[in-house]
Formats: sequence, structure tokens, C-alpha cells
Amino acid sequence: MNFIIKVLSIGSLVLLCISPFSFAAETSGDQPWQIRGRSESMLQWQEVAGTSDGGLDEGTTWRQELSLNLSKNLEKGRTGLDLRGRATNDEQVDQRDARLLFLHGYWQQDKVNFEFGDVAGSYNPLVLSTSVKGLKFGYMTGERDHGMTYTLIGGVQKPSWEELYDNTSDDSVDRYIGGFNSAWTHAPAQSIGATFSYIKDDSASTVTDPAEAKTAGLDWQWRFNRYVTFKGETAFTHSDLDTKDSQSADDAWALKLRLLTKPLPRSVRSNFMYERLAPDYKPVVASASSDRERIENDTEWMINRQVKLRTTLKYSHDNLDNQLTDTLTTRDGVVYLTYRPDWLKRSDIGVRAQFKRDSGRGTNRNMQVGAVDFNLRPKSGWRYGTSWIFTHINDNATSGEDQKINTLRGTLGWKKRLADNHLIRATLRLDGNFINRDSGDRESLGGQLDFGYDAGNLWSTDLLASTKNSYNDIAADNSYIDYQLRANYHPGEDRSKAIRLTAERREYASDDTASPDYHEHIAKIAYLVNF
Amino acid sequence: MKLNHAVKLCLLLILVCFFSTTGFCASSYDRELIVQDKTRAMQVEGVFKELMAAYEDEDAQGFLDLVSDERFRQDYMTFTDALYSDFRNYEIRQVDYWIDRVVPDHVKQFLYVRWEKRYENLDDGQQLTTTGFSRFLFDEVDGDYLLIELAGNNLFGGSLQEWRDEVPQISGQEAVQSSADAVCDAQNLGLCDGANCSSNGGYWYDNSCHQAPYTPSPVCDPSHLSLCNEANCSSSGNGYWYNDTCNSTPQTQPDLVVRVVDMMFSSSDGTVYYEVENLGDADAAACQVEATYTEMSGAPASASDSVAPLAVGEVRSGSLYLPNYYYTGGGDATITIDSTNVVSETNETNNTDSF
Repeated sequence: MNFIIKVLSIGSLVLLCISPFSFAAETSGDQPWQIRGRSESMLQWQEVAGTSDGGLDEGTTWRQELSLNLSKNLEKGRTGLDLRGRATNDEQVDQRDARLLFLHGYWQQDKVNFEFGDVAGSYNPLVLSTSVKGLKFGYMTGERDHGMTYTLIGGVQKPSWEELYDNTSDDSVDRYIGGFNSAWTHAPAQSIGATFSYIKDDSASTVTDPAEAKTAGLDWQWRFNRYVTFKGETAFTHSDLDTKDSQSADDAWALKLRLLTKPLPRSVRSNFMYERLAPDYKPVVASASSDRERIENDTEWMINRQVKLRTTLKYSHDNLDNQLTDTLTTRDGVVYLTYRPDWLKRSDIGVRAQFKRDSGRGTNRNMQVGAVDFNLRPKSGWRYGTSWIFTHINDNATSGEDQKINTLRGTLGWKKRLADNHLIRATLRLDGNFINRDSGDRESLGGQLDFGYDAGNLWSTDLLASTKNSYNDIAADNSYIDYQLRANYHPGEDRSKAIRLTAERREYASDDTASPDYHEHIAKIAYLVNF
Repeated sequence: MKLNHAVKLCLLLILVCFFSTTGFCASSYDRELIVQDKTRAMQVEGVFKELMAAYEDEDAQGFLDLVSDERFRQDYMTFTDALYSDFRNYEIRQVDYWIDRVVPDHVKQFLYVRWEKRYENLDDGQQLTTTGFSRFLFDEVDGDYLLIELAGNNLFGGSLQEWRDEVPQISGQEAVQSSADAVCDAQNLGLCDGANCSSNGGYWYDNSCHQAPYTPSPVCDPSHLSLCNEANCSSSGNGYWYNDTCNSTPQTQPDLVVRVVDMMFSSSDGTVYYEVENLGDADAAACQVEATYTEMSGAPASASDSVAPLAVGEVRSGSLYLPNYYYTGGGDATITIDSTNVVSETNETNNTDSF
């Protein structure tokens, strides 16, 4: 009850925010409010049997999800509110009976936009890339292809709404985030942006060490001509991952540069990347790993219309300040060759070779991977596919061991279109995996048969059976079998509505008596409707 | 109580705003349900579903067709490597997932998903179940949504340490895995074996995976004298055993020497004058000096005196009165210091002199 009251309270705030905008819009247009959404109602029955249930859930569960999008066109923009909620008694999905998953309100005009609820900022990845429960305000001057944009975002980062209000369910830290981004676009593919973010955790947190970080950075992309484009991101951070300890905050730099070149347009492109992230670079809410220097090249050469060659080269290492006992270095090179022969239409042959070496800090490993695949899809409806991946790992580390892995896969498919848009299809896939190593070999063989029928827009069904048997020298032999029946029915041939039926049996058996063998039966029926 | 009033006020405001909005709007609320084209959120959910299908099928190329190498915000090569590593190290049984929300940032969309992955670790044949909460960022490229960033628990590529280091944490992700669900990784080195220990940043020795590099267990040798005992201190450690420990340097000890410097005798007695010197490199404790001689009756006799503690290099003079001493020409009487060995000395052979 308490939760419902709180949701209603949030709703009141939302409506309070929306109302002024809607009033303002009324003078300029007669656009009606529109509501659209999606509902999914599901009932599931699950039974688990065997020597051990392996921690699997069983019983009858239900789930109801509802997404609502309320929107209205304004004279020069749009306003609306998006909501998504879920109720279930399935603890595998959610520990709570009901939950507001998503709330997002927006008011957009030609030059200004305002958002509240779940708002996101994906700016300079070294500075700020996250979503928060809060507010976002954007303003633009000039045109989209030539002008300035300013965005302000702020709020608290929480995995769910009720944790914002319900202290009893609070299992995450209160992380307050503020960010500002301004970007200047001179022309398409010519822009410079500046981003600032401030993160502060609630110091009373007992869940994790409270962090605080101030980060500022620039990002840019500049297309000089058809041959050269220069992209980059740089950032400076002043961060402290534990404000409670006696250690002071660290200052650190990060830099990522990319040079995109097309020395022979339509034939070759070659991209270079240099990245250096200092050991103390910890911006907390950005996509960056600290203590790494990396140099890469990615070159693609369209030799002719049948053959394409791509090579990627990478060198990276850590321990930039020599504070670790040793430096972990990675050298990686991959060559891809794709061949689509004129003499065999609708086919492709792919070759991939990888050479990788990791060394330092207890690691001393060379790996070579070779892969070949072939696919042919003639107009007759047949489909043939085969692939072979060979991996050789030469591990010279203490107690490491060499491995040779062969993975083989073959696919045979057939489909036939019948009258009235009916379609029948079948696919057989066989695969094998063979690992040779000193400590014990492993072989596994598997197969999958999939049979389907589509009756136009009215209904479709799939029958699938798959199995995999593993024979291990270092572990117990085991087998896994999965049978599935899936059916879709669209009432009145309206594909915005669907009744879905799924029945599945999964069997896992192992020679190891301590292993959790199980037989699992699952039946689901769901009703989905988009409106 | 004040909170309740606030809540009631909010509810009242809802009603006021709702009815006023409805009343004043020329375009009143349209109750007719309208089927719309796919929203961006639905498009992103559809792409994510295709990603999951490709991952379950271990179809690396099909998966990477849904990833933008041009706009990928982390290291695309490392992610590619991690994906192939997953397919090499794991037998993916199935992945159940439940999408929480899709949060827009203009065209880009953050998708949050909770998942449970069942798979077999091919290194050791162990059946594993991992749960997590992850965030994926999608961007529109030529009309199609493609994956450009990953965060949170590692649904894809978790078998490669280098990639795990790339992935930022998010609020609400599974912080601690139960031991039953945990897999070999940098945080769970105890679950690693010889084949995957080093690739997860550990060091394999003593039949288990350790965080620190292998250092042989020390034994008694000149570098580890503290591990020596009395029996092997000298032989294995080239050390010196004293004070119940093995030491790298000899123990500093006194070395007492006694010398007869003069004597006087009469027909019925005698007196011997001696000096005691500490030649060692440590102070000596107090001890006794004793003279043994033959009386006129032929019976053996002795006389003794105490010697106070002697500092290093100190010389102490003294005399002993010998009653009934019978001088026979010299050499048949002795004077001995510390005959009871209360002082440990470097040289016990110079503790006697004759007169």
C-alpha cells in the first residue's frame, strides 16, 4: 500500500510537470493525446525432478508487464510520458510483487527539450555514460548540422524506483550524478564537445565504499576530407573511490585518439587507434578501464568485388607507473578473408586467423586460431553451411598446459514457400567439439533439429530438439537434451496481438552422482498485445 | 502524520490537474487505442533478442553483425576476442532474460536487463549458473540499431579477463555471486584450475590458483637462518647457534686468561700473585680463581678467591694466600680461573697457569 501511495505521489508530480506543457500546447493545435503501449500477460508452470533440483525454481508463476506511452504532438514538438511496470510472483524474475520499472516524461520543442524520470546521458565515454533518475534539460542554438547544443543532466543513480523511496528495500548506494555537455557542430562529421561530470556517493552507505569523482573531458570528430577523419576523446579526473579512508583523491588523465583514413576510397580503409588511461583514472560512471596503453590498427581492403581482406592488430600493456610486480602485455593480430565467388552465387567462404600472445605477471601464452566457414543458400530453398575452428593454445606459464581445440559444425536447411503466404522450414545442425590436452581430453557431440511452419499472419509453430553429449577425461560424462514446442497465434491475423504457447523439457544427466541431474518441464502461455 | 497530509495533498493535486487538463483541453483524452509502428525501445529489444539468439547458438559472426565496430565505445577488438573466448571456453545451454527498461538518450538507447545464464565450463566440465544485471547501449546506424557499449555484469565475453577489466560497473548489478554460481575469474581464483588460472590473472602452483606469484617455500639456508635449528644452523645455514637462535655472526664472548705474575713463600706458607685479563669481546661475569698446591704434609690443598665482573680488555690483579704451602722448586701448583665454567668463553684453554 505504501508503495502504491508513493507511486501515486510520483504520478502527481509527473502530471504537475506535464500539465503546464499541455496547457501551453492547446493554444497552438488540436492534436489529441494518444496512448499506445504493450501488455504481456504470462502464466508459467515449471516442474523440476531428478537426483537434485540444482537450485531450479518450480511451481506456477505469473507475470504481467505493461508499457504505456502517452504522447501528444505540439506545434513544434512533442510531449509525453512513458511508463513501464511489472507484477509477478516469480522470484527468479523479481523479488518484489510489483515494481515500476521505467518512468520517463518529456517535453520537446524545436530548440529546447526537458526530460524527467529515467534520463540518460551518453556523452564522452571517458567522462559520462549512464542513466539516472532525475532531470535533463537540453537547449540548442543554430541548426542541427551547424550550431551548439547544451545538455544538463542530474539525479540519483538507483537500480529501481522504489529504492528511491523505500528504505526497507534499499540495497544499493545513493549515487548522485550531475553532468553537463556542450557540443559545437560545424558541419556534419565535424564537431567538438565538452563534458563535465560530478559523482558523489552517500557517505552513509554501508553497501560499498562511497566514491566521489569530478571528471572533465573533450571529445571531437573532424572529417578533413574524404580521406581522413580524426576522432578523439580526452579527460581529466579527480577521483576518490573511498572517501572514508585516509587516502586523498587521485588526479589522472585519459586519452583516446583515432585516425580514420581511406587512402584508396571504395577500396581501402585503415583506422589507427591510440589509447592511454593512467592507473589512477577512475571516473566511476564512464566506460574506461584504467592502467592501460593500447595501440591498434584495423585495415579493410576490398581487393575486388569477390574478395575482402581485413586485418586487426593490437598491442596493449598495463603497469604504466611500474607499481606492479610485472607488466602484462598482449599482442593480437587477426586476419579475416571473405570470398564471395562469382562462380557460385549466393555463397560465401570465410577464413579467420588469429595470433595472440599474452606475457607477463605469471602469464606466458601463445594462441593461434584458424577458422574456415562456408555457406551456400541457393534459390531452391536449401541451405548448406559448415565451419571448422582450430585453436592451439601454447601455455608456458607455471602449471599451464597446451591445448588443441577443434570445433566442427555442419548445417543443412530447407524451406519451401507454399500458397497463401504459408512457409514450411526445417534445419538440421550437427556440431562437435574436441579438446586435446595433457590433463585430459574432452569430446562433445551434439545436434539440433528445428521444424517450423508459418501459416501466413495467423499462426506459426516451431518444434525443436537439441542434444549434446560430452565425454570428459577430467570430469564426469554428461548429456543435455532440450525439446521445445513454440506456437504463435495472432487473433484475426492482427500481428499486434499474439497468444504464445511454449512447452519445453530439458534433461541434464551426468555420470557423477554428486552432479545435479534434473528433468525440467516448463509450460508457458502468454498474451501479448500492442496498442 | 505530516507525510500523510503531503500524500493526500499530492493526490488532490492529481485530481485537480487531471480534471482541469481534461476540461480545458480542446483535444480531450483520446480513449481509442491506436496501434503504432515500432518504437525505438521496441526496436532495441528486438535487436537484443537477436543478440541473445546468436549468443545461444554460438554464432560469432551473426552476433558481431549486430555490433557497430565504427561506433563501439569500448575496445572492439578486445570484445571480439572475448566473444570468441566465450564460445571456446563455454558450452552455452540457455540464457533466460527479463528486460527491465529502455532509457533513451535522444536516438541512443540504454537497455537494462536481468539475466540467468546456464552453461558448462569446458575447462573442467563444471555446470554453472550465473545471474546478473547488465546495461547495453544501442545506437542507430543506417536505420538499424547496433550495440555500442556494455556495462554491468558480464553476460557476453565474461571468460576473458582483459574484457572484464573494460566493463564498468552499474548500480544494481550482482555484487557477490554465491559460491554455487561463481565461476573462475579474478575475484574467484579459488575456482580456477591449471588451464584457466593464468588467463584470469592468477598464478597456479601447489595445485591451486593464487593471487601472488609463486615463491618457493624457504628452508634453512644462509638467507633464512631463522628457519634453522641447533642441528643444522652451522651445517646448512653457515650460522652460529646461541641464544636459541641461529645467527649470522659468532656470539660475542669474553675470554678470560689467568697469569701468575709473582709469588712469595716462607717455610710454612706462601702467597701467589696473579692477574686476570678479559681478552674477549664481551664483558665477563663474576667467577672464581682457585689455586691448588701440596702441603708440607704432602696432602693436596687449595685456596680460592672471587673475581668481580671484568669488562672487555680489563685486567684485574689479586693474590691468594696458601697456608702450609711447601715450595718444591715450582711448576707443581696451578692457578685456575672459572673452573666451574660459569662464564662462556671463546677459549677455555688459557684459564690455567702454573707456579
